[in-house]
Amino acid sequence: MAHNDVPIGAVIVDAQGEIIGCGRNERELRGDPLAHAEIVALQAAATTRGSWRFDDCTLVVTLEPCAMCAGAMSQARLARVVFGAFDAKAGAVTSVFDVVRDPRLPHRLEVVAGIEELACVRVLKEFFAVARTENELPK
Amino acid sequence: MEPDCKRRKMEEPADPPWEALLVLPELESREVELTPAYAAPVLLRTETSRLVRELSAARPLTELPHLKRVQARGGTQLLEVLLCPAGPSPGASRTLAELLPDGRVDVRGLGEPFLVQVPARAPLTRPQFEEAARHWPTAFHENKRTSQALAGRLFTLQDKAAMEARMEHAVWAARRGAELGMVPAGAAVVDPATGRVLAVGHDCRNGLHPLLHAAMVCVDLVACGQGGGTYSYRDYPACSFLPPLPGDGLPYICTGYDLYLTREPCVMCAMALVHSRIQRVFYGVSSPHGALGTGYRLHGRQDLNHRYEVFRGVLEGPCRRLGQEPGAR
Repeated sequence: MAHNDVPIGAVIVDAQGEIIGCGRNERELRGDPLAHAEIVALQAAATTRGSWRFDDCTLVVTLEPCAMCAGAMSQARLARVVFGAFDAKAGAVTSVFDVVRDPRLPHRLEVVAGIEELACVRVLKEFFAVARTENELPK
Repeated sequence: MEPDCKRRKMEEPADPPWEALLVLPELESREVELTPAYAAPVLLRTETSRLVRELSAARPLTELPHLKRVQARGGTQLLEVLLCPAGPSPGASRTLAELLPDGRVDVRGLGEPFLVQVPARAPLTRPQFEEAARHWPTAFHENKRTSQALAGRLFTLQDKAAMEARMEHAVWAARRGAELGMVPAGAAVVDPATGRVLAVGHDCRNGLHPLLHAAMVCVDLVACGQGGGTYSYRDYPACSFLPPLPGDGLPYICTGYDLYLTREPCVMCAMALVHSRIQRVFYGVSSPHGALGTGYRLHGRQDLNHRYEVFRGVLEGPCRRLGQEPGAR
């Protein structure tokens, strides 16, 4: 990506299978540390619908969401989250903790994990392989 | 004539003085975990130092290095010595010969071994230490700052006056938001090095966007001040930022800054604050789904890539009343 953002993508799909919002990670592009793909997709979907409730919708994302995005999905009352790659360092839908299935919180989501995992991991690995080569210090 | 303060009391109930209370991270706030171990009474006191020496050489407490070897039972003269950990599923009573089979410890002076529950980890705070010591004597390296903070002695009166003034910005913003039909929650970002209030914001979720809780708004406003950010706050004049001073080296978003929040943030906001690299968070009142002390304690997790300090209770009275003022939701 030209703007050097880690390539993570998300779409929000309604009950009819229509995509009502999509987003990619734009933290560097926007200079906004909160512009994760899921947040950008939720912003787009809220504009499409003119509403913030997504009871009938699924959010599909290439990388396991962090606690902020998991909390955001809960705020937006999404029905389901589908993700590809696991994030062992910050994942909040299985890996480090599980925000969207915590009985203490007011809304819970169905979780489908590891869909097209290899393809999702490959996109990230390719990005970091290039980033590492470019940043390599002269020996 | 009635004294001034008494008359004021009649008009508006005076708030009791507030305290900024440290919200401990998970590791430091959890209950003391226990693990079984074998101990034995020392029947001949004169053998104690030899027994301790031989046991330390033959059965070093490598997994439980924080435990003292000997305790005086319930403040009596009767000494008990720790022999070894009992493992996860200890059997019934064991004999000294079974527990110390290799002859490296001369069992002279030892009574019949028994099982005892001992603290599994070194205590991190004074409350944990006091709880641990009820089970078995434990070493404790006190973090003076944590103890001061827990006792409410970390901040001077001057500090508290400054904190109160900063929280008042957040309370003011919450009221302006409520006037526009928003949830009455406000926030302010301050650079503690200069005292400058860099951003003030309120909850905007009923207008711009469902995710715009006050903390998210403030992080975005700080990003706006640094030339980034996502939203426009044209319709929300109370949401504002100060551009950085000329010649100021810009930190990454909120590095080194303090955030004042009228209420405890939710999981989304607490993690957004991890991403923003905030240094300290002060909030007024807890909230039922809060993530900085109530449900989660997202601020001090070793497994996340940033940690920040949290204090609750700042200007608690006015923050609490925000939810009860006319028109609030």
